[in-house]
Amino acid sequence: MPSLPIKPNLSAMPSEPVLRLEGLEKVFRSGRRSVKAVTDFNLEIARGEVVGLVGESGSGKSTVARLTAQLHRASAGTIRLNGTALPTRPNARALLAYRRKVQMIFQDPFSSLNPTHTVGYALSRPLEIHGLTRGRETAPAVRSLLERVGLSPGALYEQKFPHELSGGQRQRVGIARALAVQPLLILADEPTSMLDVSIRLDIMNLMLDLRDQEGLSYLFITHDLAGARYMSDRVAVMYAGHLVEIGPSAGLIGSPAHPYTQLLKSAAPKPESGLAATRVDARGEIPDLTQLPPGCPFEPRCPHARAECRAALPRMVELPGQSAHQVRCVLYYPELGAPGIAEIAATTQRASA
Amino acid sequence: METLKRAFNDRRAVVGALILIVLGLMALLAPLLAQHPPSQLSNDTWLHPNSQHWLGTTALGQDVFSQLLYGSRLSLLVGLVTGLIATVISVIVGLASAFFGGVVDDILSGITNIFLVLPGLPLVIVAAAYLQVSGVVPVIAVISFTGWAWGARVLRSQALSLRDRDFVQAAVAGGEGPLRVIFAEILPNMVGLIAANFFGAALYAVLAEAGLEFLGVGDVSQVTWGTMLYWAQSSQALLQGAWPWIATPGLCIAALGTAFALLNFAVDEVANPRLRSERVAAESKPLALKPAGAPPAGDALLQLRHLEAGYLTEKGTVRAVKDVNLEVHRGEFLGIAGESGCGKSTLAFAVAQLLRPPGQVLSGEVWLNGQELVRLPPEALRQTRWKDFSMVFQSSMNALNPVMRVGDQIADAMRAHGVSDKSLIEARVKELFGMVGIRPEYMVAYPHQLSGGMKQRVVIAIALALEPRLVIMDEPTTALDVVVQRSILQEIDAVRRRLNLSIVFITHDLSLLVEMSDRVAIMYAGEIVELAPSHDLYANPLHPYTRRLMNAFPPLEGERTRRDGIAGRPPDLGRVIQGCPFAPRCDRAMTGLCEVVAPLRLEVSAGHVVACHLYDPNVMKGRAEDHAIAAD
Repeated sequence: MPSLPIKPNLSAMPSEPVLRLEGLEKVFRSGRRSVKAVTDFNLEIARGEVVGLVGESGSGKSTVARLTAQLHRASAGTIRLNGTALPTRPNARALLAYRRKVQMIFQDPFSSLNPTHTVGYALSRPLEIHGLTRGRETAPAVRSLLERVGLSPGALYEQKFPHELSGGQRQRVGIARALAVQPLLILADEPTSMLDVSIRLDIMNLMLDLRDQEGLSYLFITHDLAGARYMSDRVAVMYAGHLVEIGPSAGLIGSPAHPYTQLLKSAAPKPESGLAATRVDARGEIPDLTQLPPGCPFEPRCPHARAECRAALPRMVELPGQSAHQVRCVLYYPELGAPGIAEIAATTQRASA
Repeated sequence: METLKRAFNDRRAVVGALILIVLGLMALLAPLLAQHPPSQLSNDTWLHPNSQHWLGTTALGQDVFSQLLYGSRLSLLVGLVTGLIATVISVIVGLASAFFGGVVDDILSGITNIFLVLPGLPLVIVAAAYLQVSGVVPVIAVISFTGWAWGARVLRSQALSLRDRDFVQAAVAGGEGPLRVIFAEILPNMVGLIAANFFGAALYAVLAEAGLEFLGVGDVSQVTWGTMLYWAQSSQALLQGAWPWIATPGLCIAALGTAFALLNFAVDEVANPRLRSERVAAESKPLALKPAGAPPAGDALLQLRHLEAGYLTEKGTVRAVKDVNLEVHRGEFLGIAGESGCGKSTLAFAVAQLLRPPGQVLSGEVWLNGQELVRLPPEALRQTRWKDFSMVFQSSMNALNPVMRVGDQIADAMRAHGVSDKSLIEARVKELFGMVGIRPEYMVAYPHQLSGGMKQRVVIAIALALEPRLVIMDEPTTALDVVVQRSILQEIDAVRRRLNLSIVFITHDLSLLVEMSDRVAIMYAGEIVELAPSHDLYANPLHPYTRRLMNAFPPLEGERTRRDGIAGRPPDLGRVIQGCPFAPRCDRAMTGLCEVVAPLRLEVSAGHVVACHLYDPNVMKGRAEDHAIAAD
């Protein structure tokens, strides 16, 4: 089998990242209740890089995508595109310029296309809104877009209504719509989770091919660790609105550092071993976001919890010798002598033995 | 064009439109059709219908037919104008309320709610009497003023739900401005509702106008259907035998209402392309099932013999389950995997005898614990269900009764099957909760207080309540997060081992299935194409489809290599399939063989059955010989 095409390592160049999220926060209010969906979220995505964002429902991963897509307004924090900060309340022109560079692919291909419009209409709009084509130029541009995402002949598909297409074909239209404006970054919110297993790989491969051809960057949101590993150069893990771990995908998924990431990995299906052999102690579910503990949000479920965890929210620390791999966990605090490393290594060994 | 053609194909729309056209022509052509001026008095009073006066004359000698024609002008005008005004107000208020939200929504919703509780018709009566202006303008004004609120409220909630839909979010993310989002994205999806709103308001206006005039509150000097009724009633037309005077305006109003209702039915379908699919035949034909054979001899708890099931549509029979033969042993965990559309859910429903028209079992036998289920009378089946076998579906957790405590729902299921001892039930509920991993204090919780994972645990507890021997689970954890899924599956597995339950577990997630099951069956195009002990299937998948399916799950370990999905789509099960159903998508298909001859199901090693020519020694030997001959 050919190995995955690896883009020339653009991220190694000392250039500004395409996207930089700094201290992003989102509080949803309804009446007197308020929910902090995202807390102090920091992330950089380099040109041509795919960053996987992994977490369970309620972890805040979709909110991060919607904040970045400017579908929600952040309660705090800054979004920088190519180094330039987007104003907190951007005017229509600034917003349009931003949307030209940052596009989104939605999870549900059955609800992300307007049932009353044809595929051709859906794809012509972004071209016209952003003034990329006008009049007669639009139709050929739409057809070539369709053909680029594997819907050929484009003239056939442009007349179709969404209900005349399969889930996989609809998702290809969704990708074409995002591609139309030649963006720098595509936010893909679980683009394959509603699709049949047999076509998930095709969609992921299409996205990777487009990355290679166009130098696109992706924020690839998923709850599937294996999918994240397949797609991404780096993986970020969220829990209860917090970034808890980030690092190169092979290293992070191969040997996860944060106890939550370890739980996620142990819960993933492992066909090579029987169910009884891989018992997982989940210790409950994601906490109520309206009443988070002051310390580490995972502490109530964590098998390694200690007094320091309850005191304050742990900071992100680098793993010894791996500056790209960071984790929000006191077990890796150098000033405490990184006590967790030995402890976690012992548990992992016990589990695999 | 397409839309018009569709509308003409709908009989209801055609009839409705015809009625409306007739009424419209009556109004437009009144001066041509009427033989007499509508208000002209004459001495020919109380005439019965004749060649001069088709519908007879009134107490004052006016021609009833002419009055009916001219009356339709004002009545329809009131309906049309009022319908338009009320609908426009509803749309503006509803959309503004939904789109701007916040304070705007609060104010507009407040006003709408006040108008909703205003008693419409009495207000119209009072206002009409108070205004005392002649003509229909005050009537139109008053009815529009009181008639928009209901529509505004309905349109607001529709617009609110559309605003959060992904395609609206996608339009915003693509850079569409607010006007375009409202008018090009949201509004086209509301056409059906707006049309219904218009029809409703217009009919309300016609009726209200008739009512006002009938009560004499309006301007009775004009000719409308309403004033006709007023004068006919006050002159005691029925006693004089002048029934057309009172019946025909009434009939016209009824015809208008019918036309609106018929058009309403059709409008939704025309406005929404999604509803334009072919309808399926809703009725199932009773099948002459062959008498069942002898009960199974071995230790199989469940045995399927040549089971065929499908859906009867206008185009013919969709055969979703074809010749399935399968045994499930006591205490066994059997997994069934395949793409969507391969018949695995139909198989589950067919086994449980839960297929509803147009779906039904076409032939074959389902033996469970010595009983044949397909031929079992409904009452006996009801007894067997839950006691001998139970089901858990992906959507089961949404089927919990929202106003009943979850503990009571389990108790209810037990009482329905004859367990009446209260303390026994309570102890059992507590035990079941423990089994599926819910703390007992949640017994008094309502479903909305529980997470999706907890609700699905409750559903599983209900399925286990009567200690069935078999539980059929169709994607029970697919909607749940991985960690929750894992912990529920662990509970299921533990319960199975403790109670020696058999489980048939259906999912598209083959990697999960291999990990959990004793044996795995792979379904494709309604057939079981491979069946093997799970470790055997994992180590040595034989069928090319199984291999591709297995390859479709990227691994968590090892080298990152590019993998491919399965090109193409499963075949249309409504068509007759020749040869191997997977042949068109198979990279190892043998031309001249696979697309022509259906492969046999063969047991190639202990318990490992596969339906593929590649593993049929006779076929492969024959082909080798053919090649040898061809080489000579």
